[in-house]
Amino acid sequence: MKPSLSSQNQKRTQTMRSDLHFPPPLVASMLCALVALVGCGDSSPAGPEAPSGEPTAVVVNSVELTLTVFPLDDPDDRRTIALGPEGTPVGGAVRGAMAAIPMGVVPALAIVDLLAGEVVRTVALPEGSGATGALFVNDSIVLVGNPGLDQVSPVNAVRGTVGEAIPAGGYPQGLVQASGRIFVLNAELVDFSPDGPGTLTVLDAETLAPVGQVVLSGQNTADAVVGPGGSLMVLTSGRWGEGDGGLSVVDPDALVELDSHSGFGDLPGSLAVLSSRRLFASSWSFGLIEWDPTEENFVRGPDDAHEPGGIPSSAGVALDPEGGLWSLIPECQGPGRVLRLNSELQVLAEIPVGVCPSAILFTQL
Amino acid sequence: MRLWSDLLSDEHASVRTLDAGAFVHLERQIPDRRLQPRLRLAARLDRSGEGPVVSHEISVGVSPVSVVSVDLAHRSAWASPSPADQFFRDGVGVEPNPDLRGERVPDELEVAVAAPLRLGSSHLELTASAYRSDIRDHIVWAPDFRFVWSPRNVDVRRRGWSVGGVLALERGLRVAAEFSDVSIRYVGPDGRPGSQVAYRPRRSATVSLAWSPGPWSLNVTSIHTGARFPVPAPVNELPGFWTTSAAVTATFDVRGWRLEPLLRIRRLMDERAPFISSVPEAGRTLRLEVRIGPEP
Repeated sequence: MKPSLSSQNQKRTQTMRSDLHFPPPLVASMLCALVALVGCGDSSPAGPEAPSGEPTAVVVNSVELTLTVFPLDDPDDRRTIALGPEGTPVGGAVRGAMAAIPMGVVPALAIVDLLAGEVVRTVALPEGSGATGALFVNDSIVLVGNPGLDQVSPVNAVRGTVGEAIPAGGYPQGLVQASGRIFVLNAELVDFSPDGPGTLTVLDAETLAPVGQVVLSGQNTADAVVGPGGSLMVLTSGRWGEGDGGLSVVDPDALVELDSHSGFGDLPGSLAVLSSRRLFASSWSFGLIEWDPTEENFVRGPDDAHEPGGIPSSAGVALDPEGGLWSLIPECQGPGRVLRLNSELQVLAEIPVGVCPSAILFTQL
Repeated sequence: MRLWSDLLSDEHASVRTLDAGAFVHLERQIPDRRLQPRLRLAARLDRSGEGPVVSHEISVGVSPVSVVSVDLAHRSAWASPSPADQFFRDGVGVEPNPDLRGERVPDELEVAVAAPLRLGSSHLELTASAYRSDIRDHIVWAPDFRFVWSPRNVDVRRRGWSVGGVLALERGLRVAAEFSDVSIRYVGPDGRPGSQVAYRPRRSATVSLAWSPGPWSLNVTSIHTGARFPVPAPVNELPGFWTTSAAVTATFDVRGWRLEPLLRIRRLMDERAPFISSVPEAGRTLRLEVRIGPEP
């Protein structure tokens, strides 16, 4: 496997999604298998090397079509990276100094060099495919969801080439890796409305071959994180205005839904797991709700949700590598902000970003 | 077949609105051969959804020398939102906004200079103006977090200046040029100006040539649309571009009837540069009209 894209960064790197809470995969050497598994080619008896580099946040500003990049320890040192004049990006994936940003209704993937601060290439995807959801499977291959064609495309971000598409469920809009497998989050939308229960298409993380599917109880699969005990916590947003968001607990090995819970309010969009007793879900409609995965009940439900910074709304929630909680303020008419919170949901810092922040990702630069 | 729309029901549709106004204008040339002062007063009363709105204009002008005139004006203005923006815009990813408020210019100041010159048998008029004209509740189309475009009210700070000239030559030939620089910026919550409004070019220019020999008339115009930002932030700049259009008209009287053909060619050089990034332009387009009516 090729080393990290940037010639300025020859150190081992780690990748983080905003809602990835299992131990991050590490890149070890060019002889590693397709999946970046910990310890591959590493002869150190102490285990894999700790990631190096400065912890850095990458905020996707959807309406502004930019990224805001800043070190966690010095958020005043912010940089803005323009993605292009058109598109509807709402998320992405990062791997060291490289970011892969799907451009939404514009079927393309923007590859960004975070150190150079610029888009190094824009990879065109199949016509009509759309681009939502991305996941680095190694240093160069990114899987991108194509909601318009019910498939995912493997993209070589270094060469700018697109491989043969992999069939998925209806309207894939996210990808998560867990237990040696890749889970494609299928919202099953038709004309932007759920047309049945949400599903997960499961791929082998090494071969990218389909290995199964999981049908969920809720509708409109939106996000997923690895929860306590290695189970996959899957958030379903439900239908617009119906308040039927829910949470499914999936066994990533047996590929079955173990349990499902309702009452997650109107269109929850993202998840973050702070501990085995504290799971947070965000929504534009109410802020942050808190769920206890162990007791399986709400600590703070939609009716008495946390309001970070006094704002009863959140465009997204995420956990950084240092265990800090982040909430995105849904400001889409002017410059937005992200809040860094402590475990009591008090605001530690408020960082200005671009218009309409929709996702925050973490990496090391 | 039963049709129903919540836009047409009393509980969802706006109460009937009536926009009406009255306007009065006075202009006075004050006799003074040396300065040739002029005074103009205008007032307008509009009935809006927010209550009565009064707009005014006070302008004074002098001509300190025979070939130069200077005018200074102070104005206010109000414009109601269009029913289309409020109720009838449709399309994919487009939504009207029934809560739109009217646009208000509370305090505009403009200074304008004009200098008509005679160059032999030709006439040249040079003009220049500068203004400060902030707008409250300016109507701007923008996307929300769902990427659905709809009009909304924003406060903007507007400053601008322009220079231009018109040269009228013999045989019906006329050349005109104008350059303008307009800063129209969002006003932030702290009252400070932000970036240029999305899709508002800072600089623009027009060059035109008109020729009217006899019954024919030819007009060629080139317009420069300056660089602009597609988002409400100074990023992802779209480059400026030139487009050229031409129009040929004629007037013929035949047996008591007047024929007026008009051929208009837009984007004469087949320019494809789009104004809005995701909206492609068709390139060169031709339009032919023929107007027929009784000879006056």
